[in-house]
Amino acid sequence: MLRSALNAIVCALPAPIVEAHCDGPCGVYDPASARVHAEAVLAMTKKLQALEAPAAGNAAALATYNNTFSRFVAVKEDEAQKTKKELLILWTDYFKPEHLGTFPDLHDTFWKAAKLCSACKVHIDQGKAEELLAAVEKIHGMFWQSKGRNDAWVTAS
Amino acid sequence: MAPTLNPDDRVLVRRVSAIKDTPALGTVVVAWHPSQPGLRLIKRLKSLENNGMMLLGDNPSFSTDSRQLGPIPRSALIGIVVSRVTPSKKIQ
Repeated sequence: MLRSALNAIVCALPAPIVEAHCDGPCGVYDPASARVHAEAVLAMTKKLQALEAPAAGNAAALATYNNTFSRFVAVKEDEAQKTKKELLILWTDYFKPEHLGTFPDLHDTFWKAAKLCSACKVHIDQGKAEELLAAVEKIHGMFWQSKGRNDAWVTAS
Repeated sequence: MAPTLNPDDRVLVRRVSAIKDTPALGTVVVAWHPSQPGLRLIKRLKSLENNGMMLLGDNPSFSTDSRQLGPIPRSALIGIVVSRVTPSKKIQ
């Protein structure tokens, strides 16, 4: 009786909140960085597909073509790796086991998205690049839902 | 801090100004976050190093603590937790 009365008094008093989980060292996460890199993968894939090989026998044009093709491939490779890195940060640092209750397919979604990053490196496949961007969009939705927000999906291109 | 503490639990804290000695290792303490002003942390004192206190959560898979934050300066200590008010339980 006395204890419950004391509890009621203590609970009525204002008390500052203390945090047991304070998230990452900076706490700043945003799927936008993954989205920018995934868009770059799609853009480079389209550029590679649009690149026309020069006529046979034109050595200078062939050198230019090879140079441009190589650069486009290198950028695609790099952007796909950066997309994967950004996704892994969200997967392993931001999302916690408690999120699995809301998003039971969380692991599968990230695993498939990471696999798509690899597929975009291995191939020049617009379909895979579009699938990757769609996977990042799904993760964007999960991320903001987990924060109780409904931020719009906006692309740069 | 599960299983010791749960969300919305209320605890009594003895302020650092009232503590003459260094808190005992294993004590649950409240301290200021080293880089987020105004954010109070509640963690367990694991060890005392030359450059500060190693504070760890009781639920490592969920906790962000000295494993990521590094040693917390001794000056950031606010107090030690002496008991949980709701539901009532002595903090071990």
